[in-house]
Amino acid sequence: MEENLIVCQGLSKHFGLKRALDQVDLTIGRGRIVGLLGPNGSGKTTWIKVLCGLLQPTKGTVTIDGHQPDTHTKAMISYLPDRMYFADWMAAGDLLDYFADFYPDFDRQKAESMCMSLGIHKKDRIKTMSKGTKEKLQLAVVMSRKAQLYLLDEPIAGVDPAARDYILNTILTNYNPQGTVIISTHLISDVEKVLDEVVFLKNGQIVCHDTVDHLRETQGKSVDALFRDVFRMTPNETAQGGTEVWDD
Amino acid sequence: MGRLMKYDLRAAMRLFIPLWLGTLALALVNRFTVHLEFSENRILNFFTGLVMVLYVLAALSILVVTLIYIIQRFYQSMLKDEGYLTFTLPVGIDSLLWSKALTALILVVVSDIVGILSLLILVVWNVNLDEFQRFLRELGQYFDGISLTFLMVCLTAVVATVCQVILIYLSMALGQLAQKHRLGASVGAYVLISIATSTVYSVVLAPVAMKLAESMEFPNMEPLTILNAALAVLMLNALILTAVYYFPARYLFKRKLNLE
Repeated sequence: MEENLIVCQGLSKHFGLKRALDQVDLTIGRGRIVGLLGPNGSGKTTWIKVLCGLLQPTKGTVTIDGHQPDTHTKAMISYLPDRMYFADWMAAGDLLDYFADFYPDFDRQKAESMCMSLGIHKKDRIKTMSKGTKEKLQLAVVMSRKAQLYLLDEPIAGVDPAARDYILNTILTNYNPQGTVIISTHLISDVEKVLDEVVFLKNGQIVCHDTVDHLRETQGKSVDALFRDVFRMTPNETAQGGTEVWDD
Repeated sequence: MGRLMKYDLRAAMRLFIPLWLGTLALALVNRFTVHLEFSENRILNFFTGLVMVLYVLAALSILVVTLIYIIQRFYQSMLKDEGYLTFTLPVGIDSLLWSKALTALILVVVSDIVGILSLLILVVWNVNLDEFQRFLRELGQYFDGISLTFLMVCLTAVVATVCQVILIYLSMALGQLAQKHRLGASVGAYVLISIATSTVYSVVLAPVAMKLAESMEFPNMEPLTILNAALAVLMLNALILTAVYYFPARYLFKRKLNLE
C-alpha cells in the first residue's frame, strides 16, 4: 500500500486550445476529507474524471495507490458523477444487484436500509423517480461502498438547504474512515465545517492546498471568506479587456 | 464478462421478447386467416389483408430494430451518461467490448431464428403433415451430404456478424475522439473504414485471389468441396477483419477515452 493515495505530477488536460487542467502537482493522503473548491469551469470535474479514467490526460501523470487509472484503481474508487448514470430500464433493486455484482466492497444491507429511509422500494423504476430522489439513490449506492477513495462531484449543487444537510450527513455517517473523501463544490460555507483539507482550483491550476486548521490560523479567516478573496472578480477586472469584441 | 452480459441481456429482453413473441403470434394468426376467403365481405377481407401487412411489418422491424438497438445500446451505455458507470466498473476493456458484441450476436441469431420460425409457421403448417414428414426425411438424407457446408454457412454468418458489430464499435471509438458532433463523426468513420476496406480488397487482394483461383483445377473438384473451400476463405477473411477492427477499437477505448 502506497503512503500517498493520489499523486499528480504535471497533470494537464487540454480541450483544443482550452487548458482545463494546467500543470497540476498534487499529493493527497489517506483518511482525509478534502474539499475541491473552485468556481464553475475551474477544472474540478475534469480532474475527477481523469482520476476515474473517463478522460485521458494530455500531459503528466496521475497515480492512485501507485497505479495509473485501471481496473485496480476503479475497484478502489467510489465515484459520484455530476449527472445521472443509471440505465433507465432499471428498478432500484436492479441497481443494487448491479453494484453488488461488480463491487466486492458494496454493502447491500446498508444500501437497502438507506433506500428504505428514503422511501424507495425494490420495484420502483428509476425512470419514474423525481430528480431529487434519483440523486439521493445515486448517493446511497455510492456511499454504501467501503471504498478507499470517494470522488463526489458536486453532490450538493442544485438542491435545497435541507437536502444539502441530508446529503452531507449521509456522506459523513457512511464513508469508510480509512478512505479519503474528495468533495468538489463551489458552495464552501456548507461543507467547510466537515473538511480536513482544501484544494483551490482556478483556471485549471492549483492556487492553494492546505489543511483547514492551518489556513484558519495563518489567514485568520474562514475558508469561505478566503475563497471569496481568491476568486473575487471585480467588475473592473472583467471590463479590462473592454475594447475586445467577438470576432463575428 | 458473464456479469456484464447478464445485465445487457436483461435490458435487451425487455424489448425483444415482446417483439419476437409478437411476430410469432402474427405469423400464427396469418396461418389461419390466409385461408379464409370472404369474397362477399369487404370488411373481413380487409382484416385478413391487414393481419398480413402487420406480419410483414413485424418481420421487417425485427431486422431494423435489432440493428438500431445494437448501435443505440452501445452508444448510450458506453459514450453517453451511462458510460460514467460502465467505464468506472472494475472490469477490463476486453470484457466490456466482448460482452456487448456477444449480446449483439445473440440478438441477431435469435432474431434470425424467430424470422425463420415465423415463416415456417406460415408455410409449413399449410401443407399436409404426412407430406411434410416425408419432406423432412428427404431433407435429412440430403442433409447428411451437406451438413459440413451447412455448419460452415452458419459459422461464417456468425463471424461476419461479429465483424460488422466490431466495425460499428470501432466507428464509435473514432467518433468519440471528436470534440463536437460525435455521432456524425462516427458515421463518417464508418463510411471511411468501409471505403478503405473495399479499396484494399479491390486493389491488393482481388488480383492475388484471381491468381490463386487460376492455378486451381476447379473442373476436377466436387462442387461441394469448392463451396466449402470458398466458405472457409470467407470465414477466415471475416476473422482477420474482426481482428483488424477490434484492436484499434480496444486501444482507443482504453487509451483515448474522452467522455463528454
